[in-house]
Amino acid sequence: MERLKVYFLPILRSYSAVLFNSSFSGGGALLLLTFLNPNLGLGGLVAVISAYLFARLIGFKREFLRLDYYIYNPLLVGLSLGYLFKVSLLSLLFFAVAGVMTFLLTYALSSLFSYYLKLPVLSVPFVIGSSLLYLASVKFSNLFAINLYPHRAPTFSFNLPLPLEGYLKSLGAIFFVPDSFAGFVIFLVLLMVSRILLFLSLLGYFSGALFQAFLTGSTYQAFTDTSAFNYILTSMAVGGVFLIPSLRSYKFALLSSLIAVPLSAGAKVFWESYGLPVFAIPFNVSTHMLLYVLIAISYYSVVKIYKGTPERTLDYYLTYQRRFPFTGRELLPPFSGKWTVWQSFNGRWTHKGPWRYALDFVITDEEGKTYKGEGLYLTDYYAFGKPVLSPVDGEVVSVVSNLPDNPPGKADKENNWGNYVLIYDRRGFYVLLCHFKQNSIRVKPGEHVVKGTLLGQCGNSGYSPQPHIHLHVQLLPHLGAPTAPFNLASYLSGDFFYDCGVPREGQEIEPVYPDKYLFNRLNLLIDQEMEFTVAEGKKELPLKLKVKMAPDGTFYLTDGAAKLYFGIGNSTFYFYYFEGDISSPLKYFFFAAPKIPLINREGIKWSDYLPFLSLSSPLKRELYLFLSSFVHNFSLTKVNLLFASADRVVSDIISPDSKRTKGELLISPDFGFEELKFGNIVIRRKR
Amino acid sequence: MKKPYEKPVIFKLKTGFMNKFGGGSYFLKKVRSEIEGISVDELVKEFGSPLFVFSERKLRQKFRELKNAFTLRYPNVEFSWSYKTNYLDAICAILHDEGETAEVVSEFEYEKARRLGVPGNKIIYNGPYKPLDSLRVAVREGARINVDHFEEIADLEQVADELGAKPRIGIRLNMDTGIQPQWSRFGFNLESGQAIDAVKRIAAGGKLELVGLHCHIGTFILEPRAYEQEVKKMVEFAYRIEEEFGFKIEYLDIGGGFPSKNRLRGIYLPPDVAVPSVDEFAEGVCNALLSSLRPGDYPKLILESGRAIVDEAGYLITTVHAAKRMPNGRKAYVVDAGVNILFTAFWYHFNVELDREVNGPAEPCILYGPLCMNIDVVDDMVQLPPLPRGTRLILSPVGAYNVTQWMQFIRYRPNVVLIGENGEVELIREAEDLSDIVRRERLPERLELKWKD
Repeated sequence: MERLKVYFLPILRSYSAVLFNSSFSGGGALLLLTFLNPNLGLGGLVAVISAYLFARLIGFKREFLRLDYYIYNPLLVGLSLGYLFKVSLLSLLFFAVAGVMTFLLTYALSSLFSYYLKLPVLSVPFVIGSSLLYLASVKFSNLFAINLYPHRAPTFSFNLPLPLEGYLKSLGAIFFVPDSFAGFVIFLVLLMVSRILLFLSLLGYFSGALFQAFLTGSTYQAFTDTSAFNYILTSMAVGGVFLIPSLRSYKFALLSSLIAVPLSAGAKVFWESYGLPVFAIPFNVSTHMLLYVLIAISYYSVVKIYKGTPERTLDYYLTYQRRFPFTGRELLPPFSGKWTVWQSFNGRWTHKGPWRYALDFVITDEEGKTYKGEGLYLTDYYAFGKPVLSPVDGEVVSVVSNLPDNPPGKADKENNWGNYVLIYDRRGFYVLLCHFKQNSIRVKPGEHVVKGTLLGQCGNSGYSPQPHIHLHVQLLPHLGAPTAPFNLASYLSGDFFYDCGVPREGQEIEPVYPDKYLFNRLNLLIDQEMEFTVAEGKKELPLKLKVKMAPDGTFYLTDGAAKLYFGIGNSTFYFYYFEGDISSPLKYFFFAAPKIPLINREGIKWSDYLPFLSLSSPLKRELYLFLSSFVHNFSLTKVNLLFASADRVVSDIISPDSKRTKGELLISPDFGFEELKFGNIVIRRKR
Repeated sequence: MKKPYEKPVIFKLKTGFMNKFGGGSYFLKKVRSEIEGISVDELVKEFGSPLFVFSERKLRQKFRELKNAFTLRYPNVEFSWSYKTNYLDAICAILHDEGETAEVVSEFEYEKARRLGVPGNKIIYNGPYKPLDSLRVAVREGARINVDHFEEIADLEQVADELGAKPRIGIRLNMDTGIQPQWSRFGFNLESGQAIDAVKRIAAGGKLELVGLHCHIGTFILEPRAYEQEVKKMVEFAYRIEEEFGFKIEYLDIGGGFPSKNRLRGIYLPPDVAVPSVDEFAEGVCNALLSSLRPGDYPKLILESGRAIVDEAGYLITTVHAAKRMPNGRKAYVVDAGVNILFTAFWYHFNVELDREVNGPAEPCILYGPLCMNIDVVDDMVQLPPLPRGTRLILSPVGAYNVTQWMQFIRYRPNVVLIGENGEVELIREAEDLSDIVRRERLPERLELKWKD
């Protein structure tokens, strides 16, 4: 049974992949739908199975089927042939050969596309394969004579208004079943799988068809054109799959389905002169063109990881954006203890123009003064002589250490940067720290430093009227190069913990280094196991969690049904995201404490956001997601967290409908988690 | 007003001459009519004399100075309040409010901290004598225990068995840091290999988790480099333990011993010259840590400073009761505070200030306490002008070790007040009366006195 599932499920997925999702049940429905015409059904299935078996034969791992274009292209070719030829021994053989051929074509083309154009191959292999096979079959008189069959009128007819019938038929045409019943089934599948895709299919069809109607002057022709399914596919691919669903992506979807109209009409002239349908040419061309441009200019909302449906992608993206606003240039505060931001980005005095992304730090007392006494001497300044620590791991590029410290109130205009250390970080940027005390720098060019290495002492050299540390990031190695945006990582401001952020002027911040004890307990290692009892009301269920590693090197906790990815960075333990069976109690760990700073100090507060996945009502969840696709910050689930004691995280989860849930997580004295509460659910470690 | 008669004596007049310690004795005369804005007169009127006065402002300021000096140089520091220097509830509460945990050295101090509301995991339990019962409580409540000797390892293992827990402990080390005297009576000696034997013993037992190292090199240390040595040796030892035994050393507790601005007997330089600033200690310790620790490894640095924080926040007001001329010509005064409440008089020459301007040349004087005991000498050498009876002397710094080591001997112990940050004066320990002293006494019936009034 298990084995059968392993083979069968990828095949079902190839059906749903045509509609840009990975639902098994939806795939099943579509598979059955194709069998309304057994020739069609068998044609598709045989082609897929043969492609799949061939892939296994040449040693492909099951993982490759995650790249769904390998499997849906042979399926589409099979369907297109089944649409033409009825089932016989000969045609079956032909289908199988076509399946393998399309697989090879897909492999070759996808390599070319991804290497030269950085594009997914979409259904180009289907278009080329089917066109070639249709042309070839004209020569195969025997096959033609025996197996060609006439198409009957559809079994069901609903007497629907023309535009609606046209829409449903176009949906059906995607699977070579251009009748309104099939269209209706696909409509239901879309409704079940993704409201965003459904919306896009309507948007694409009606905008494309109406445009065509205006251009040709014939509404009837426009609404009966079976190649109109291209508008639907284009709209879905652009608006929901390759761009993050948003009002903007919907505009692109609308635009590209309009572009598909002339493409379709133009292509027809050539293809129809050889007696061929245009298949999915308009869809491929318009989608590829737009996508190529958007990727080439690094357009910000191009989807990097597609999560199976536009909704999941959107949820992941929205949460990711809010939870991890990283720039890839995260720096530790370059000091120890509490310092105050004297000047932040776009500062009042000198952080302007090309040097606007910079931070200046001083030390202040309770009265906000940076010095004791009258501040006439450098030694009166709290910052003077305090250690400056490396904010990154990297290599020291250059150092100046011999400039004198200015007396308070004076500044050296000749040597703006004063004594400085320039460090190259392998993430691809340079970090400049300046105004060091004369002869206090302890590192030399070429030396490797790590986060926290003592670089020297804070001083008052260069353009500096009072002792302070200047920190910025630049992309070029010379002094005075323009600055680039960056974030500070893991710091406290008062009682509030930030894993990442840019402090504002006047904010007092203190870096956080991970507490060794807490780190050792939350640094979960591969194959570690934790057993729990889940109690909800009177029900008690066992839960066994194990730590596993994903192929990309991230770690996750799993109970077999779901995966909860986690990791440690920026002195913070993160639950990155939840994947798999939503009914698994594993999700409560995520919801109750999405991130935990590694500080052993009670009273520390922080906040985080949860995906819509955390909403208990599926209807509400999907509604919020659909609405969020129009307005990204429409609503969110916020979590406020607090270390009630050194081991106990208490959280308050506020969902968009203002419903509040209390969470609590107790960290074990050895490793992992001891107890978790989320609403009325209690998960206790079994020892 | 008639001038009081004083018998004439001849003594060598030094007034006005320079000496190598700076300033003529005339200028050594110091006047302090108020403490934190509250007049000394009013304080005595309300609370009597002698009177201990603590300044909350000064206490917080001294703590913050120490805290800033270390946290601005090393990113992971914990301050633990050394209860034995001053365990008055109000003083401890202020320092806990500033974020200090509690460092206790007996079950009494442990209980006092718990009663004040300090949770077990915020207590560090040190000392050479920890009764088994107190270890049980400490382990159950999650206190950090620094082991002093092999017997205590055995005791803790017994407790571990009883409670079915794996206590997380530290061990106390003693070592040569280049200073004398070397405090070798506490903990395990590093150089002789005793310390590594203790780790072996703990590892072999398998019932305890070694997570910290503790050391306390001495008290009133005037040499920052001694701490550098201490830190370097501790880090080196910590890594040796991590490599050879697999324990993870999470904290390095370097104890306390930082001096206050008090003048030790036998040291002639004034404290402003002799005592290094807290920044010098911090720089020595933190630079030694940052240069000997491995990249990215920041074990918690624990400081158990007591005296350096509280000493200068405490004053003692005492009143001149009588004046005497000794047979050798030396002037002496009898004041109402003696060594019974001023234990640190054995160590220091206090800073003596007068509550009013007193005219006349200063001469070397002896301050005798009120006890009918020969040892009761508050200071044997202090330059004072001729003081009329009733003059108040303000002695400082007296905040550390006095209100813990004082005793009820011959006289009652006096009031202790705290001057808050907004100038409020609050009684934080009431003066004793007879009932405090006789409360625990039991007189067998047969011994009851039959005398009639």
